[in-house]
Formats: sequence, C-alpha cells, structure tokens
Amino acid sequence: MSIRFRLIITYLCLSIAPLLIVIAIGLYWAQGIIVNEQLSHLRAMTNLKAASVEGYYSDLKVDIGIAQDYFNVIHNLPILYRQEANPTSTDFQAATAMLDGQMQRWLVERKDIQNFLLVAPDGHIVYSASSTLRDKIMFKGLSDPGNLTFIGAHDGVSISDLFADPESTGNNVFLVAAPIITADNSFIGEVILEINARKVYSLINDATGLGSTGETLLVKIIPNSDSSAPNKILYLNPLKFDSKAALNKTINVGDSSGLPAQSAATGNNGEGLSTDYRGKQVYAVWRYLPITGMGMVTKIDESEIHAPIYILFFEISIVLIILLFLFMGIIPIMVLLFTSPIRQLISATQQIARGDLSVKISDRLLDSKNEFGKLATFFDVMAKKLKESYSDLEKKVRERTRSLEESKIKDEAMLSSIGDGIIAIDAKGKIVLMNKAAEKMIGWKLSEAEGKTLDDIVPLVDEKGVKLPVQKRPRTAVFTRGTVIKTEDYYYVRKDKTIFPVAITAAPVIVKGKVIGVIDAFRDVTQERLVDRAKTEFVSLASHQLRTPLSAINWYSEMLLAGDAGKLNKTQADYVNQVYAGNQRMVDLVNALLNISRIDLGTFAVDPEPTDFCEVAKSVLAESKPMIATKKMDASCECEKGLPKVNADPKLIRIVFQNLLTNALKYTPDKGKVVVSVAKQDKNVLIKVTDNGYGIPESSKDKIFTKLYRADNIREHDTEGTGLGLYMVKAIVEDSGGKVWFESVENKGTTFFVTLPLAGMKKKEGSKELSSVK
Amino acid sequence: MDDKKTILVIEDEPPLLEAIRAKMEKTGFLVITGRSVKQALMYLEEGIKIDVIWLDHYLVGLENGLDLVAKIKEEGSKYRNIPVYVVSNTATPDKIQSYIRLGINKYYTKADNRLEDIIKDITNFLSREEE
Repeated sequence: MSIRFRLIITYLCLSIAPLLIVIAIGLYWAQGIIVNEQLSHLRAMTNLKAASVEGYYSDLKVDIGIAQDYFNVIHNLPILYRQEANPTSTDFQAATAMLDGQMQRWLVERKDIQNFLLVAPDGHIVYSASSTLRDKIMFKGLSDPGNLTFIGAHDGVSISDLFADPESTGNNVFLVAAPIITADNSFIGEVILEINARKVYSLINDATGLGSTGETLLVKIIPNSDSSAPNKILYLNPLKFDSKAALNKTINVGDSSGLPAQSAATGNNGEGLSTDYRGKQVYAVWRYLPITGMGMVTKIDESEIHAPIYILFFEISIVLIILLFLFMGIIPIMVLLFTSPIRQLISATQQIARGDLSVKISDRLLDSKNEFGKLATFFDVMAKKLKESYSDLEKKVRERTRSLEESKIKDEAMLSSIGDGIIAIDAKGKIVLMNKAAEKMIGWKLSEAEGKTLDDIVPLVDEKGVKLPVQKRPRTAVFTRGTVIKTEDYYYVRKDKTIFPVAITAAPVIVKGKVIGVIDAFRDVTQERLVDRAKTEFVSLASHQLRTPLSAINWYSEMLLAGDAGKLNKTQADYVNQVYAGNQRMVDLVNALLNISRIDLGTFAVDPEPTDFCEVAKSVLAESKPMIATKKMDASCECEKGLPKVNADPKLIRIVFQNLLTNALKYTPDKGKVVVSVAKQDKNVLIKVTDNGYGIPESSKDKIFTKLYRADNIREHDTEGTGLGLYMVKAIVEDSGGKVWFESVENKGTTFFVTLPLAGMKKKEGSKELSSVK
Repeated sequence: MDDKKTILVIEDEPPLLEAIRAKMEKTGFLVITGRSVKQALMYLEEGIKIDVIWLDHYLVGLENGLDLVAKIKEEGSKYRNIPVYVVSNTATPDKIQSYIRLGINKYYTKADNRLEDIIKDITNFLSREEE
C-alpha cells in the first residue's frame, strides 16, 4: 500500500470519525432534550386540562350549591312531593310554574346544563325544568348511572359518572346532585343538574399543541363484580383514532396496551414512554383526577416526538456527505502535495537504478527546510558522489576491459596457435573450452561439445578399441590426485568414430587448493608413431645389415688368430686382436640398438618362468669377473635366504642385472666397492646395486634414464657406453610392473634400486627377444 | 677320405660363405656351397650324400631358409634326417621359433658366435650321432 493511499485513509479516518462521534453524541443529546421538552409540554398540557376539568367540576359544585339553597326549591319541593298524585292540581301547577320561572333560566344561560331536576327523597323525579322532557321522565326514577347513589346522597354534593343520555342518543351526560335540607335540618329531596358532557369533551379533546398524533383521554375503572375477572377500564371521551370510543371502548386491567390509561384509572400519576390503546409506542403523561374519579392521559406518538430527531439526522447526514465529498476532493490533493517530494525522490532513485546518474532534484525541494528537504539534500549529495565514483569506476572498467580484451585476444591467439589440442573441463567433467586444434583433431566444434561430458564427446580407448572407464581416464586421476598426469597409451575416438593415438597431458586447474577443472592438452601422435616406427625399423634393418659385415670381420679375424691362414707373428696377432675386440664392441652396440628399437616398438617378448633372482645375479657377477679382476674391484653379492622363485623372464632379469652391475663397475674408480643385493620387501623383490663411484651429478639426475643420454662426468671416464643401458632397464622394469630409482652423491657413490613384483611378469608374445649386452 | 662328412652350406654372402668353407674344410669337412634354395635342392636331388646342412635365413632368390627347411622336413622327405643348423643375423624370434618347430638342430646369431664354436657344436653332434 503506497504512502499516498495510507495518508488518504488516515486523513479520512481522522476527519470523518470524530465528526461521526460528535454527530452521534449530538443526536443522542438532541433526542434527550427533545423528549424532555415534549414530556414537559405534555405534562403542562395535562396539568392544564386536569385543572380545567377539575375547575369545571368545582364550578358545577358551586352551581349546585346555589341551586340547593334556592328558597323557591325549598318551598315548592314539598308541595310537588305532596301533590304528585295530583299533577293537574293548582298547587302542583303553581309550584311548577314558580320553579319554571327561576329554573328554566339555567337552561337558557347555561348551554352545558341540559336539565334541572328535583327528586323526592325516595328518588323519583318531581320536577323537570325542561318542559319537553316532562312527559318522558316525570314521576319516574332517576336514570341511575350506576355510581350515583341516593342512599345517603343527602350527605353532600355528588357527581355521577358519564353515561349515555337515555332521552337523546349520542349525547353523553353526567349528573351533579345536592341534597335539599330545610332550616329545621330535614332532608326533603335533591336538586340535580343534568350536565351535557360536551363541555368536558371540548376541554379534553382540544388537541391544540399536541401535534398530529397527540390527544387527551379520560378513563374510569369499572370494578368487576366477579372478583376472578379483571377490572375493566372504560374510555370516557371520543378518541382521535376511535370516535365511537366514548363509553364504548374498554380494556382489561393487565392488558399489554393502554398502559397509561390503566395506570391513571387505578389512581396513579406518571409519565414516559409507554404503549397506548392502539399498541403503539407513545410518550404519555397521566394523572388521576380525584375530584372527578377519572384518570387522564395525554400522549403523543413516539414517532412524532422523534420526527425532529430524524429530520436532524437526515440534515446532518446530508452535511456529512457533502463534507465527505469535500474531504475526498481535498485530501488527495493535500496528500499529493505532501508526498510530492517523496515521489520526486522515488523517480530520482528509479532513474539512478536504471543507471542514469544525471539526476537533478528541484531547487524548491532542496531549499525546503523540512525533513524532505534534508532527505533530498543528502540524496543529492549521494547521487553526486555515486556519479563521481561511477565515472571513476567506468574509467577503471574501461581500462580493465581493454586490458582484459587484449589479454583475451592474446590468450585466444595463443590457444588457437597452439598445435596441441586443448580441452578444458570443469569439476563435473563438462567441457568448457576447446581450441581450434582440438576441434580439428576430434572433429567436434566447441559449440557442439560445450557443456557435454568429455567422456561422451571423446571416448578414450585402448589399442583394441575397448573404451576406458571414466575412473581410469587421466582427468579422473588428476581430480583425485591434483597432479599432472601424462599418458601416451590410448586412443581418442573422433566424432566420425575413427580413432587416433593420442598423447595426453592432463593438468589440474587449482584455485585455493581445490581442483576446479582440468586442462587436457593432447596431440595426435599418429605421425610420431609412424616416424618412430620407421626409425626403429630402420635401426633394426640397419643393425641387421651391419651384422653381416661384422660377422665377416669377426670370423676372418678369428681364423687369422687361429692360424688358419698361417701363423701370425706377435705384432700381427696383436693387431688382429684389436680388430676382433673393436668388432666385438661394434656387435654389442648393434645389439643394444636392436634392443632399444624393440623396446620402442613394444615388440620385445616376455617369456616368464620360475626364476631365482639370486642365481641370475651371481651368474652376472661371475661373467664380469675379468673386468672385476682388471679393475681390482671388491664386488660381492648379498642374497636374502629363502627368497622364492619369481615367475619372470630370466633373459630380461639378466639384462637388468647386467646393466646395473656393468655401470657400477665401469663408473667406479679402480679398487672400488660394488655390492649387489637381492631381498624381499613387502610384495616385491628389491634389487640394490651400490657402488662408491663417481656418482651422478645433480644436473644429470632427471635425464639418466633417457635414451642415449650419458652423464657428463662419466663420459670423461668411459668412452664406450651407449647411453642405452638404463633406458632398457627402466623399460623392462616398468613393463613388468616394477619401479627403478636411485640415490646418488657425486664422487661418493650411487645406489640403484629396482623393485619387481613377486607376482611376476605377464607373458607377452613379442616378435623379437632382447639380447644380452656383454 | 671316406670318413669325411659332407656339409652343405647355403649362405648368400660370398665373403661369409668363403670363411665358412675355409674353416669347415680346415676342420675336415667336405663342403658344398650354395647361395639359394634352388641350388640347395639341386644338390640334394643330385643324390650327393649330405651329412649336415648349414643354412642362412636370407638367401639369393625369392625363397629363404625357412622355405628350404620346410621342404626338407616335410612328411615323406628323403632328407628329413639331415641335421640342419641355421646361422643367421636376420631372423626374428618368431621365425626362429618356426625353424625350431620344423625340427632344425640349432639356431645361431652370426655376429654373436665364433665360427669355431658353431663348428665344434656340429662336429660334436655328428660324432655323437655316429656312436
């Protein structure tokens, strides 16, 4: 969520939420005030009406008091009572006329008084001011509304309940009665005013100030004679919502509706939210009017009371919505203004991220004193620094790239100009690099071979075409040993499945002591082999050809010396001896050359048989007796007892001993010491030939086994050596799975060591045998 | 002269042939020399009694010593029992093996052996055979 959005939300929350709370509190408050206001209004209305009704009733009492004390009444009532059986009598008529004269004025002046009646002590009507009603009611009992009791009515003024006027329908009336007492304090009857309820109704039903649902009602409790049934509440006046309710509508005490009426009728005062006769929620104020014995309820529907609140709420909502729209318009603009420095910084950062360092931040932002200004300033400094260091870096990178490119070009030129094939592989044996020569030799392009396993691309096979397992490949050994490995024994298979003999030098690529790859440098040795073979064959043939004349010289010298051509004198014999000896050397040399050519061709035969190395050593020593004698050497042989016979080719073992012993004898000054020893060591036979001779100079040590090589120091002492002996020894020993090495200190002596496995040599059919060198 | 043994020497090199003849005659042999297989067979077929054959490997002509030995030693040959000594410089080990398999008496390398020693071996063999 972006800061902008968050800010907008925050501002909206901050502005709207308190507003809503204030409005809610205000509304609640307003509601309380309005309800209270309305209730007190209702209360006032109720009190006013109650006072009016009660005032009216008091007035009526005053009125009846006046009538009660009329002399006219006190004088004429006994006459009417006495003459009632004779209404047409003069007395009766006269009394009636006297009463009419005074009482009918009441009816004229007072619209609420419907009739003025006088009743006899026993309760029957003896006078009616209304002459029209006289026929109907005269001498009859007073219409008893039920609670106006004449028994004891003489005790004081009493007012009846409302009741329907039996003489005129739809007209509700009530009676006000007072006893008529004479001066001598005797009860002679009653004066009764029949009051039309219209006035009461007009007082009650005046809904002024009560709104559209407000009304006042009068109720009265009617006790039920059956105590198990609930008392009834009777509605006395016409209701707003039920015009025929007056004296008709009742509810039971305990009903869930008309609660204020129930409360007022049973003598209680109260106010508040309640349920009216319709079952509606209303605000009501109710009173019990003791003078009248009625309950009064003034009430207004709750909905009407609450209407102003709803209106207020509606108005506020509109204001709120307008404000919200206003905020929604203003806040994003504010936020936009507020976040504009951030956005500017963001776009600057993006620009830098894209690599464009020429970022410019507006001066207005840089000049501003707030946090954004500071941030922008630091950012600007940072960007400038970055630009500086970047341009510095770029310069360096350019220089470095140039030198890298140069060295890459050089390397590539070198690689491609190298005649040897070069394949680099990584630690997983995958090809990562190949030079042109390699591509040419193996027929694969680097693009085809890259990332593939060396073993799959160029399998290595032996001379029989059998594939070499991966673990035997030179590069595997390089990984495990971390050293350079050379081999010339195998063949590479080209892409087209043809093979060629290959000389491989596998070198480890070591980084921080870990072999991370191997560089295979290799060359096709087909030509070399051919040349070598041709050379060797040439030597072989030449040697053979040389042997014929050598044989001729040999044999003729031999015959001359034998005197076959006549006896030679001493000088002649000496000379021929020289010829013979020289010829013998020549034969030896030719034989040695032949041996070498056979070794080089790999064509020398190995024909193993159980061989006693000690016997061979002794025999060789014996053969050298003449030389030992001539040089007065101390030569001996030490043989370990119980040395087993080894399955080896005695001819080859002889060559080994011969060469080592001959060398030791030749390259040790006269009277020197030579020891040949044969012993068992682990699974090998260890041969040691020790002398205290000239030794091998340091400079020659690494070349001593090289073909035709002769150490510098011994060439001075002996001119006859061929430089082939040790080469031959090494070839034989290594071919047999053994090892040859030496320890030597110049002018102190040399020891040659040879180990040959006790397991013996393997038979090898060769085309030529090696011949011993004398 | 009747007790003289006859040796057939087949050698392509005249100087060597001469040396062998000289030494053999000196030793008391009747020497017949030839330089080719053809010549050798000719001598044999002429019915001359040959006691021993001295044979070189490489000879004049297309056939070499091995061809001759093969013919002499073949099944039913009249000359099977004539001892054969091969004296050569040029035979390779496998050829030497072939010679030996065919039944020659001994193989010598010319350059490595004295004439006298070879002749001594031959005379020794012949005298042993006579006994």
